[in-house]
Amino acid sequence: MKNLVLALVLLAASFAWTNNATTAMMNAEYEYAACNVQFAKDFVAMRENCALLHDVPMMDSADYIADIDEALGDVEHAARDGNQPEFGGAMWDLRARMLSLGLAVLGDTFANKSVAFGNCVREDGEPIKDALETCRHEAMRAGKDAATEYVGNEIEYGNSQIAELDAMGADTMGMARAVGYGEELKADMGPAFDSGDEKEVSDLYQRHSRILLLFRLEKMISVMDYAEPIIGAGNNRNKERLLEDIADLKGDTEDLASDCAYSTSVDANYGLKNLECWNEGLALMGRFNSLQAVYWGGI
Amino acid sequence: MNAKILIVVLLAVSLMFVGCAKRGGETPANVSQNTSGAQTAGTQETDIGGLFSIDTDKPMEGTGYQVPADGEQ
Repeated sequence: MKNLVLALVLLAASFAWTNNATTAMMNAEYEYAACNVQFAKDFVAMRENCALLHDVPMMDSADYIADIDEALGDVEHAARDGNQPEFGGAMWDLRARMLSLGLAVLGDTFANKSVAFGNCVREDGEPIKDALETCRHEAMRAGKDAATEYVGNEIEYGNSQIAELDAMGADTMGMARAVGYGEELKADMGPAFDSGDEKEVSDLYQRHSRILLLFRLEKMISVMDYAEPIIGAGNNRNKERLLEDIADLKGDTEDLASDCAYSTSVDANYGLKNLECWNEGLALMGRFNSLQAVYWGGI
Repeated sequence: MNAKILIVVLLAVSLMFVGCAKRGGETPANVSQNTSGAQTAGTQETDIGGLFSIDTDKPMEGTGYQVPADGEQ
């Protein structure tokens, strides 16, 4: 019977909540990346035309373009499947290949080129840049809608978790504070996406990452605060171990929540700090989830 | 024949009642042990196991919007 209960609990835990706007978010990012890829291809083709016109040597970009097309195909595939880890990997791969082409073009710029060639690239490049801006603008609009829905879903989910714990009598102030940060982020989304500035949009993601981590840390603290006296007064066979583990984990979680405090101001170190905070946070989340097995093992 | 079936059914029903009575007798004992000192704590303790569960998926990174390191575009 005990094993059955444990199995049911683990089965329920395996059906984690998924955000319905995830695929739309990935598709919008894919559309934006596709704009950049189209620009790169048009730019390379335009340079080749100018090189022919002004009789200057030109690098062979066929392999670079083939690699980029392949990488973009992987991004599209992952976005369509709603596969977030695969999407992240494919997007980094695409960026690396785009960077590689960019560096090759930069190197070729100084390889036996004439002034006339340079003028040709400058003039013919303008309409390509205009097309890029138009394409990006459309992708940003789709991105804004998807991101707004994504964060709205998260806020709704966060509030439902708060309501559940509130109903049990737990202290959910920390969780509510994190949801408040989420509301603030949602309000900042429109202006950031409308600006068309990649940096502003990228900053939203960094802030979102920190908020989500803090919400989970605060939830863990709320649960542990709530459960500690109940376990202490109860009769679980693993009571001593549970209380010891909870005390240690709660201290570590509070320390991390304090170290990873939220700020709306995204400086150059924000992303790196997010990475550190998530690495430590995921380890704490693993310890938190392992409490469940200890708990049910003592029933 | 019918009498034999009736006896088997009655025996089965009796056993079910015995089983229920046995379980019913254990439950209050457990609760009273769990609730030593706090009337509501014992009831709540049975509910808290599922609370030790947190999502571990990572958030979207927005890689597609991140500014290229060398400004190649």
